[in-house]
Amino acid sequence: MILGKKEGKLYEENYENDVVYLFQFPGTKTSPSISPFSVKVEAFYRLHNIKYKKRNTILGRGTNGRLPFVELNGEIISDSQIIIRRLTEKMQLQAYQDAQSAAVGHTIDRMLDNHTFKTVHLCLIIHSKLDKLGALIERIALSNRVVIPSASANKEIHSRVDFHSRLESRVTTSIGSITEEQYKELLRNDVLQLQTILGKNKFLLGEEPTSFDCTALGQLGVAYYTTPSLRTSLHDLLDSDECTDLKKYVERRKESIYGIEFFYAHAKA
Amino acid sequence: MLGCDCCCISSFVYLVGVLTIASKVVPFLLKKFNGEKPLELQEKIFKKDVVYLYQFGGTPTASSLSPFCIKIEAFLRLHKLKFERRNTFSDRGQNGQLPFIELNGEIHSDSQIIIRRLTQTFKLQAYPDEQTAAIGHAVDRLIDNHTFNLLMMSKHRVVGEVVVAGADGVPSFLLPLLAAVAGRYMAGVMTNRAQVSIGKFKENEYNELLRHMEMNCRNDLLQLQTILGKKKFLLGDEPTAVDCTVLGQFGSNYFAVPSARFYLHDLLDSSEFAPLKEYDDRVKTQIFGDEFCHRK
Repeated sequence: MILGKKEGKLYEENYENDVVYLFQFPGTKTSPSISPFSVKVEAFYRLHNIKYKKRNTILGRGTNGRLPFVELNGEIISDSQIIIRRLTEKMQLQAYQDAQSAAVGHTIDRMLDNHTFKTVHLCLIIHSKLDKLGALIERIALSNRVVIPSASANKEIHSRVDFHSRLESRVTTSIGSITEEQYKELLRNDVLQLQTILGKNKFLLGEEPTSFDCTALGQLGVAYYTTPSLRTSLHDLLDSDECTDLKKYVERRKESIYGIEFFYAHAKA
Repeated sequence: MLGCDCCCISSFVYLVGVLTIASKVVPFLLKKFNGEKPLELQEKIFKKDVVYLYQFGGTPTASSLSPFCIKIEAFLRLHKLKFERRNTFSDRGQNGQLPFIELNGEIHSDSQIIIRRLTQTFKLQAYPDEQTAAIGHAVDRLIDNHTFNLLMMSKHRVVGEVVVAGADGVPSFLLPLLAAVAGRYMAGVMTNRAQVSIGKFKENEYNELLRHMEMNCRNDLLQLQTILGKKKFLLGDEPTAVDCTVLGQFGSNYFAVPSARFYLHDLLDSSEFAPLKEYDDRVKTQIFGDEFCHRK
């Protein structure tokens, strides 16, 4: 399940009815996926007890050229935002208490996925040395029992897969080429504002969990837990006294949504 | 071809046309290709505590074509800071984008960072309390990082007209050419920018993508309208920084070139979004008065 298939064709040919097949990037020993959007979607299924099966892939892509995507009853749905909305409609889930908190939740969700995501990744990928990216890929490979012989082979993979420059251009196209210090400043601001919104609540919008808590777990959880040895400014932030409340919240989310299964279990869920 | 005279004149006309376009485009390209030079201050003689705002020019109905430039000017006006506009086409800040500002001999780029620096330097109170500030920040990021991209994708079909509206000093017979060429180029830039964030659907999926985006865009506006509720401004009875952000996006996309209608106009003009439209007019009038237009 590492290589991709022709588009338009279903990956899952013999699918069970009403079971969601989640196609995602694999994870590491300490995280179910390296992609925050995949974790968000999976956390959403767990939150609402939706039957799903995971299919790890590296080269597969949905109709928008991205991962994750899902197949449900023979239909392909791409883009994590659309996936969650479709499933909410289909399963007639009661998503939020009232329109006002739904609206606020939506803004938090978009901030996390469209802004915080980029500041986190920039700090990790671009301003750290290329070795860190190599170490990340190596770790993923090890967790998936794929052998990569040496460091120089890593560099081969980098250039072929071209993660680095693609990621860089993705981020700089949206945010602009500001300095590392400025990215860190923006990241810290996002994280602190999120903590303020959380306040003394159990969940972001109050006493009940919502899909926005899944988004937060995706963005913060993946960045923090995926490769603990590669420390970034997000690690420094979450580990500092300033962010104790937010860190505890992320841990609570991880425990209650995934329990022990946050740590990488094999492909089929 | 009627004869020798006409040939010469039409060649001459084309030459003038090419030179006019070149005089705008070449300095810009040169700056891009010459690589990283540390930026020099544009204002050699500057007044203390006056903000020099370098931005794209506007139209008769908007102070700039760029939402981020409008946002900064709105913020300056909201907090009654002294400023001077410098319309430019080819200048860029340290991040390769506009707007940027010069203040007391320092250059600041990126609209988010500019607002933070201004707040720090002039000890402004951007929001009444922390909780409101947090929500304001989230709304601000929604609009500038999400809604903005959706609007760009939707808008690219009419961008030729928008370019023409902002074309200062270009002879009118060249405008159709400019609309076609620059419009094509800008549409590509905008689409690419949005696709980088949202994802690239295949050709045959394009209408599906457009439908999804328009759905997401409408959803963003509905959520915004819900947050507004019965209030005068997004977060209360007084305008705050996030109202400037909203004015930026709606100002550049809705007010700037009324003839370049696209999906946003259909939404805002419908009865479903009457409260949001009233709010837009209110912000524009409160912050800019009747000065929401291109100024030299």
